[in-house]
Amino acid sequence: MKKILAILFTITALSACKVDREPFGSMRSEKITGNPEESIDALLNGVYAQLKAWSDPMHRLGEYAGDNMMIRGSSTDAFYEFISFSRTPNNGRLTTFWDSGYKAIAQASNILNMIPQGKNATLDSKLGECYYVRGMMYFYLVRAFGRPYYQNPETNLGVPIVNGTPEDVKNATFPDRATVKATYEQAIADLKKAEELISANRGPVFASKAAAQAMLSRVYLYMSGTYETPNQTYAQLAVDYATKVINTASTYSLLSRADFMKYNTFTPENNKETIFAIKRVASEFSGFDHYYGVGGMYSNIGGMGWGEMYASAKYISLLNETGRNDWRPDNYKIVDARAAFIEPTYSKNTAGAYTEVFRFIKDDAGNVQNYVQANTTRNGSTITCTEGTDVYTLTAVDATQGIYSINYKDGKTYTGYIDYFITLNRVYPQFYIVKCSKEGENSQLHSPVISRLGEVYLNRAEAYAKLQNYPLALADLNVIRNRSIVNGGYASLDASNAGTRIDKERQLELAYQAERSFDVFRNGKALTRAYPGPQNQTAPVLANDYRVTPQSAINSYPGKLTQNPTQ
Amino acid sequence: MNGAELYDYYASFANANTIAFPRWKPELRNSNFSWWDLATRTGFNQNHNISIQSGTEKLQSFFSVGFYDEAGTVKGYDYERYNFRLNTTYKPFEWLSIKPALVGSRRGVVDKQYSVTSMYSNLPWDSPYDTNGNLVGHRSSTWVNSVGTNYLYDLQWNHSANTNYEFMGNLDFDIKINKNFTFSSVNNYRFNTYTSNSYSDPLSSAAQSVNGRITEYRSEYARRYTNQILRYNNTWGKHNVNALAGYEFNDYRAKTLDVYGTGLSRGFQVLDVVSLPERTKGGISEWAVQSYLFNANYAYADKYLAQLSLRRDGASNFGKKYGDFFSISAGWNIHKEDWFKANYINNLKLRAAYGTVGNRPSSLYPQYDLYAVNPAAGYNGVPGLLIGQVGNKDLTWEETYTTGLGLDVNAFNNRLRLNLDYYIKNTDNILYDVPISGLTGVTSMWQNVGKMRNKGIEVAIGGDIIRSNDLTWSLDINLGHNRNKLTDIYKTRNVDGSYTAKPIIIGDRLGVAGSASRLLQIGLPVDTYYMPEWAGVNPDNGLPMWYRVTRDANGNETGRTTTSTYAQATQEKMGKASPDLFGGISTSLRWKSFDMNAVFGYSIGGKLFNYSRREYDSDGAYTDRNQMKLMDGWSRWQKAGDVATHPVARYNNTNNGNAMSSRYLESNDFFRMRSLALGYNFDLKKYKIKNLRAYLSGENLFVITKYSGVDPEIPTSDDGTILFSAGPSVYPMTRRFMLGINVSF
Repeated sequence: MKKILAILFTITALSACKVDREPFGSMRSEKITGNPEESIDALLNGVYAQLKAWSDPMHRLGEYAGDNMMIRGSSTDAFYEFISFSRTPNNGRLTTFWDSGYKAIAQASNILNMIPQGKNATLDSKLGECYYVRGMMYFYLVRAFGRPYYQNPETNLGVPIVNGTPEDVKNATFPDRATVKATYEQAIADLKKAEELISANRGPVFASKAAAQAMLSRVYLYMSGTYETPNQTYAQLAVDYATKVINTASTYSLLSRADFMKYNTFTPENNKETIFAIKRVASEFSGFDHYYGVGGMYSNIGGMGWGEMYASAKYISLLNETGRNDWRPDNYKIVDARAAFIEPTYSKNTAGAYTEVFRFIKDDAGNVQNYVQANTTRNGSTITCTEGTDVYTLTAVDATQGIYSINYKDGKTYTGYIDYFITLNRVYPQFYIVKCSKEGENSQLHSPVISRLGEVYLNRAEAYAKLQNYPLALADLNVIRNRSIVNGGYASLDASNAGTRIDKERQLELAYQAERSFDVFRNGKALTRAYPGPQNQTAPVLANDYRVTPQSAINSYPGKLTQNPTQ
Repeated sequence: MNGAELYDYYASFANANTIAFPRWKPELRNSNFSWWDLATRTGFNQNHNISIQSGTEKLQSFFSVGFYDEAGTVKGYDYERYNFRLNTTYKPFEWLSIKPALVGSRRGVVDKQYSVTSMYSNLPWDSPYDTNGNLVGHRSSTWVNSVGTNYLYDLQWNHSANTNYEFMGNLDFDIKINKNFTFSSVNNYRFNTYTSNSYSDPLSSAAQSVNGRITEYRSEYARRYTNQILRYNNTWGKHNVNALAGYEFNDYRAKTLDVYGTGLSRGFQVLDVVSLPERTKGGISEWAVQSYLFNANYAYADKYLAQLSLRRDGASNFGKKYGDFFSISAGWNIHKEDWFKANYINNLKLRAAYGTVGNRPSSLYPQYDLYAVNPAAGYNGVPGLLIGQVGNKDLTWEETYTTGLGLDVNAFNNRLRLNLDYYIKNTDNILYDVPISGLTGVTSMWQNVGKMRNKGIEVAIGGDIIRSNDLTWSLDINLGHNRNKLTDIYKTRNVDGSYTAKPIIIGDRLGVAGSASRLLQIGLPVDTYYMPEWAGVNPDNGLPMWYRVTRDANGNETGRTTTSTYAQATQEKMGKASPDLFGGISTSLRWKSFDMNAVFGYSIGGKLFNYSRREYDSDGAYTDRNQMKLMDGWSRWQKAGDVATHPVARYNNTNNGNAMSSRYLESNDFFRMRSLALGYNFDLKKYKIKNLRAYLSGENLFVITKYSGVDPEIPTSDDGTILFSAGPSVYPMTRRFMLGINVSF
């Protein structure tokens, strides 16, 4: 009996097991911090990986707050507040933008803190890539949360400068938001460091010397004041950095008009114009994932996508300024190459035919504009259209282009287009936007473009204009304009029209690249959105409107994090 | 709302003249489709069990098999369960008993379930069928919500199913070493495997872009449990000692596989037929716990009872792995004292206990600093490393010290029963996944954040009001009251180097943006809601209002004004979620061979954030989903001077009235009949049937509440976490009737 007992206790003692368990899907930091240089490539990949998550809210808050797009109605989603400008501090998308931007900063900074500079050029080049991402993040954060640079940058608040995960996270404290000026200084210092250190160009899906210079040209442009009161020192720096990029013609070149119209379909590596894009690959998307990307809001492709946001009537009319873009499949004619990124959803009737309509925009009660698509009837050269029981005879404005006018029942005369019926969402014809879709396949796959050569030309055109060097500004402006609109270039440029023309070209060219809302405000302009849609169509948004800091960021902040005044 | 109600509501919008969707015409008022009726049905459940028990001195066995089948009240969901259990006790020698056991079950679900969300959200103007009775496709221009999906369309072909097998084997044995010592060994192995698969047809919108999709998901886990205990039992004179010392080990390992394939011929349902892999995922997770334990009970003449227990637990998911716990308790059976003369008292016992228990975090590896290595950390198809977690090396057991006092009384031939319990639970080192500043690279970190106290009283009082041969009637009432208070938050460093305790603001775990926040602050209950405070409707213009409170440096309120700009509203403490009083009432009545049982539940003084109203009671902000009717006592502002509960309604309303605020924080007091059963016992002894009882029972027969949502009880997530908000898609309360027969031979 005692033997049995002894055996049992031995078994018990032996069976006293270890209770340590380690994760299978993550790596212990100790394995990296011991020899960080060995992991540099993977860590650097992590920096870029974080940009994937960051690019989504970045796009939405930059683009939706502009006037290139409209939405078919108010939405449950937090991004609706980017459109409605009801800037509440509890906004999940805004929080994600804040947190994911700072995560990229932390990841890049941790690498820079772990690996000393100066060991060899290969390593330094990789550290330079970290500097690029960090500088770019600070710039994107400050342009979102701070006021435009021309408004008291020494006192207006930018964002906090915290570079890296602190040693003791629980007891760390962080400083309050730095001024707009100090945040720009941090961004510039990082980008200059990137320009200095990056020696290898690994292609446009990684940071490069030219990417740093392109970003610096934009940062200095943001600092260059308004057209009315420019800061010529910064304008000159914007010119200088733009020139550095434009002069690397062997690496980057503008696409031809024909290729440009397919810009969205090329992978960044096969696009000579892209300087830096955040690469997405097809294998990252499965199931319904394509609904949730940026393109998913703009169109439904192959069953994937909400397709609830369309090109605004304001943007469409800008595209049509020099001539009608006709998207009808049997009549397809693009005047402005940038119209190729718009795809109206013409609907066929049950017999498989399109329905001809006269489409115009009318003024409704309450200073609201709405679309009308009225079926047409042709009788010789007379075209009538019918809305309900009302029949109107149309007056030709430019019959070859299908432009007509209508004397509407409200006593007003509206001009519109003979076109095919476009499927409505609520009351809005669906002008799908595909600039953020269709990369290499017919899906919502898209690698968000951060910098491309086209933008750099426009940066330089604007900076030259602010330096009152109108001939050079005109030359750069026409490079972009002539590419898209055959013989569309301007004959002259001067102080009276430079701002308007350059801004308009920038809007046309950089639409759906998350630039527009910032471009309006940084030059002191107001954003007007008088076009159909649920946004406030009457009250312009002034350049002193800006975002609040996410409440959750304030709640969890170890220290004081000053909120923007809520006005 | 039905079609007409919704039409009238839209027509009442202050800006109704701007509504211009194509079907906005008076005849729209007549279109009405009930998505609720479409999706619900009378469910049907079956439950059959047979058990056999037999045995001799040396061999005893128990065997049971069961079958359960449930067709849910939401159409398209069928659940089946088969289970068996085999227990055997084998005593080859007087000193040895071996107890092998085997338990197994199979649960299967065939899922073509109709959409629960759509029951609430789809517009009554939009029918899934066209005038010819054919299904309407997605994004139909005939729908008012012309980008809506008609889930019935894909359900023509698409389906999913899952199966879950669980087997559990035990090899337990007891060795009787001598008359005082016994060695007991429990050795258990549990294996569970879950598989699910889904088929999306090439024609369905879910998979038309990829020409059909098949998904397969498997997870399996194994749990090992062993427990080796040496027991000591001795009685001498009036003394009785019962003690044990033991070791316990418990671990878990789970493995998952998650695969999608696309491109298939219609109708084929295995991955072999797909032309492209779309996703491959899989993971392993583990935890382990071990304990050393000791427990001793002592009784003197069954009058004085004492107990002491000690245990040391170690767990894999802590930085400081081991925690030591103890408990002591004492009991006094007063009615057994010689001097106790009150004969009408059958039982009078006083109890006291003091002890600790530990609690583990839900995260498996919270103590480690980790880098993510998953595809989200990779770039351009190449793996990468990305900050994933900041670990807490000091993370340790949450420990609750409970002091309890109790009194049990049975009197008048056990016809009156009373149990009183009073407790104080002091919890140290509360575990929480605390939000931290995203500037660190992560947004939360597991911490032992502070201390809290729960004080409460529980009362159970019952009696047999009538007790005769033919008729008995008894009534039992339970009352519970608990008061929770956060007593400490551990101090963290300030910018100036000093340390202070700072409040922590957390979400409600619903996982929906814009649901309620809560505040952890010393002196307040841990379930205190924290959000902008609703100030009602401005009678002049119908705009929503919130309070804007100003405070001095010490946090004392110095003034409050109202604002209709949501961004200016301040965050306020808005009371706690948990009730002041909760419990149940049960009563049973027996008359001759008939019996009746009823159980009621109630809760008073709690609050629940009804998130769903942000979408369904939105004053016109959400025009693509159905809206709730105004409840009794609610009113809508229509003209200057109206004193109303609901702001002016506008089409595409942008006034933010439906933003997260205490507007949607509701009292969830309720009184509910949980069940009612009626039975009849047949006397069939002459047919060798020991007992035959037939019964009819109903569950969830009624609930009285002013709460405007679907179910006033505090919701929990699938894993059992308590949620503090009710989401937009709550499974309907199911009223259930059962007809059953129990037979014993």
